[in-house]
Amino acid sequence: MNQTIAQNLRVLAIVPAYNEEITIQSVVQEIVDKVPGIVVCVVNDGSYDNTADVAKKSGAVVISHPFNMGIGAAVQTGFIYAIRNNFDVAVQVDADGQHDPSFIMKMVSDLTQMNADVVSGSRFIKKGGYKSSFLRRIGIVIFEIINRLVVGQKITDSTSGFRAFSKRAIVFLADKYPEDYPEPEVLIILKKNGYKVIEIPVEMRNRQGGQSSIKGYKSLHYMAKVILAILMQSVKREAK
Amino acid sequence: MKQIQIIAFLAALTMFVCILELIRRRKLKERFALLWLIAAIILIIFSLWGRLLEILAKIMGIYYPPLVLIPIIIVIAVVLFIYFSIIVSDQSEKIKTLAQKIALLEEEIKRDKNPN
Repeated sequence: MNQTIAQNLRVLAIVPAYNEEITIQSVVQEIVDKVPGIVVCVVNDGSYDNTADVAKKSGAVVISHPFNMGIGAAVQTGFIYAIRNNFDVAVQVDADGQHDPSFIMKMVSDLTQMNADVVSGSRFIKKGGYKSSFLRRIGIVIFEIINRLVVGQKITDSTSGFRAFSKRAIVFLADKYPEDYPEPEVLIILKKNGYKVIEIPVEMRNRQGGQSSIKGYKSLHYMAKVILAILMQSVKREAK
Repeated sequence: MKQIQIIAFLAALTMFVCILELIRRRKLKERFALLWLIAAIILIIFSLWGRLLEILAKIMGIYYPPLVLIPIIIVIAVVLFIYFSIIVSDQSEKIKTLAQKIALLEEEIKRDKNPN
């Protein structure tokens, strides 16, 4: 297994961040330490804490939205930045420290070697590493079935936000990026438009700070909305 | 003309004139006003042509003609609301694009000012 990134491949890490001043520094530094030559772009999505300053001091490029627009818009801004600055690969990494940057090399090398457009890190391919509640597991199985039907490919972790994108995919997504529940929808629109999607196993850590935005009864609400978004996405007409 | 007809006509006419006046004062853009004008014209027609309600009531199988107004008003309201939702969606997309451009340009300007 070749784990070095081909030389002269310009890789950008896109880190969407909303009020993540506690974790952003260690996230940026860990990415820089573990992936030589990578540029980290923190998209500060209208935070009202010190996320932007902390990220800047940690050595990241910081792009600050004038107000909060949601994670979809933040990642899209990262893609536009990647195009304007000629990057070949973009890796989306969460700002809360859940994603272990040691997997980035593997994701990028798989992307180039398997000629894929998206390499999505999945918590669920291998057993272990990720503990979840019974309800959560039911949700995951339901998602898997829906994805099977809609995407036409087995996707074990469609809500993963740990992904590497090829240049082709970056150009496509910079133009149209789903807004509300972007992670599952991105896979659908990419597959629909003939892009190659693969999943590789990753381990995710417990978040270092902040809280999941989704918990309790909200998770049911979240699931219903995501399922609606996925189904709608699958029948949407192509945007001009 | 019956009393109610006169009142209805005056009300609809007032609406029509108000919309025109809003356009004249540039408070309302023409393309948004068009649907409101059409709504006002429909109301004017109904107020002047009393028999129209009875004809429609017969076609729709409604025994009490004034009730015809209810579905008509609901349809007009729903069309307007959907139309405005479409406009809001379009504008939120444009605002997003603008905000992203500003954020990217701001980063470029700062980089030009103090290159490391």
